[in-house]
Amino acid sequence: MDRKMDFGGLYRSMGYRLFRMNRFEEYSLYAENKNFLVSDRVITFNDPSGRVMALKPDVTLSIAKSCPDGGETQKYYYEENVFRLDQSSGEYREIPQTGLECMGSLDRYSVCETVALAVRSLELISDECLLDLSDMGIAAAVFDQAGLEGKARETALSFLAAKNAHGLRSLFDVPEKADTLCELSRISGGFDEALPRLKAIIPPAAAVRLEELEAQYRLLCKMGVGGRLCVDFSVVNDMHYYNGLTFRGFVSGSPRAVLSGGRYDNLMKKLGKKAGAIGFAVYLDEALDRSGAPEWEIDRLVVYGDCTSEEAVIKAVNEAAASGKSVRTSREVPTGIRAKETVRLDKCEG
Amino acid sequence: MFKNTINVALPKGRLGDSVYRLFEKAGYGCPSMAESDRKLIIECPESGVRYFLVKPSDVAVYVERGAADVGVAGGDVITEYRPDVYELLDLGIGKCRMAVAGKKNWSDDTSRILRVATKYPNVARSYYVGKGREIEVIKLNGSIELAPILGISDVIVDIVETGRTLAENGLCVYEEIFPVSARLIANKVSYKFKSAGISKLTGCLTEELP
Repeated sequence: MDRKMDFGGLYRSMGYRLFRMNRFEEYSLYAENKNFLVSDRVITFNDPSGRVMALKPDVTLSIAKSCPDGGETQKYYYEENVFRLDQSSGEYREIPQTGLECMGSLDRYSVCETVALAVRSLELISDECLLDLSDMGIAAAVFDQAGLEGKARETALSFLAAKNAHGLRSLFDVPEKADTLCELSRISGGFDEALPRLKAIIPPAAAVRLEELEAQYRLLCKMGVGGRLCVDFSVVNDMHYYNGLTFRGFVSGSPRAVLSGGRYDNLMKKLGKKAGAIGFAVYLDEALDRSGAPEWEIDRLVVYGDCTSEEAVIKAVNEAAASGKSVRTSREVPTGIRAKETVRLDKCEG
Repeated sequence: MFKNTINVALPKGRLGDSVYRLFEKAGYGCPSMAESDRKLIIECPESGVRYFLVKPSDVAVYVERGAADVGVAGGDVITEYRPDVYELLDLGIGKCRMAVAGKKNWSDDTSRILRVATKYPNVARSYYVGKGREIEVIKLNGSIELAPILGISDVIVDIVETGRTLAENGLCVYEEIFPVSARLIANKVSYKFKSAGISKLTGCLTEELP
């Protein structure tokens, strides 16, 4: 991994503890919470006692399940691989992921600290980054006002995620009934521009949520990350699990979101916990794809031959190590290795 | 490469021609478009766009993977592949419908598994799951109409424009699944980092919609 991307260091610096977990989990955890998963396709197998197990497709569920529910706030980060079906190829993939979870009686400060850490994580990947925020409570209130229930609500959520205004209109007998939802789908940009537009359309039931979103933004500005934040209601998650703030992170040059997170008190409730929770995951495969291959794989290549003494090779290696350079020794010039400099010890006199 | 240039994936063929005419009317014309019909990348610095000409079913792939910032794909392709992109506009051109068709005088034997030939296996599966019907999908890549004629399927799920090809082959439409038209789609990250250019393009196209 790029030395710059020290996510664990960032999270430890804010007091988050590493949560290490088993690669397997009982399948029932995922079967009962299918809609929480990015994909409901899970690799399963039977363990020696006959229990149906799964290769972990998600980390948050495991941490949420294990989290003590004593009222004290728990802060964990993780570095794990998850196993998911890749929709475009139809194949399962092992995906490296890092992220953090903050669980307990959450206040505005702890919520904003998590969001600020999401922004700092993006900044580790690229200077050109932004975090889109939305609020599931506001989206739910707009859906309630439009009378969307059941299947229609799910369909509307997918149209909102795709900024599909013509799809939203198709859900109503009178297309004008979709006007508020269409405007919500179009809102995308900085808080100063987005908040007045939101205020003009949201139903009274969402006023408290919008005030909270505004207060969170002011606090995030004080934390020094306000310039990275945008409002975009295409950032939505399943309402059965997520409530409140939801966010997604983007960096220029990567074609997909590299970070995703939100507040999921509803999942905690489903798991029988009183605690609230917020967290995010960084998709390291996307982040690493963006960083591309480094120009040099090694700093120094030392090529030796039959006439080279072993002492001469040791000396060349030690010199490189002493100046902090990586070194590779080889009897021949290796093909396909990008070395910054090459030291030839294989040229024999006479 | 100009950083602010909008990369546009256009479908090749008949749909692509009418889509390009719409872009031209909206102020995104490109004199070099007429120069060669073999070029796959056409630079239009005067309009601030670069066109990629790709197979219609591949437009969504180029946009989802960020090679193109925006593109024009049929509603049929979007429903089949469900790419993770924004669907910004219904362009109202290339109109047709996704439909179930079969031989004239065919009658459905509900005691048997229905054999469905199609280029759109996900659309077919999800339609019949919704109806609670078990089907066998036969994936074909072209000349779908042949399947029921030669008896390898009971019905086909395919896009139908006028219905002439069906009629000429002794087939007819039995059920309509959803209407299809060309959609402007955008890569989600491009939408953030090239928002001004993409918003302008969307606005200009909206003004020219039929």
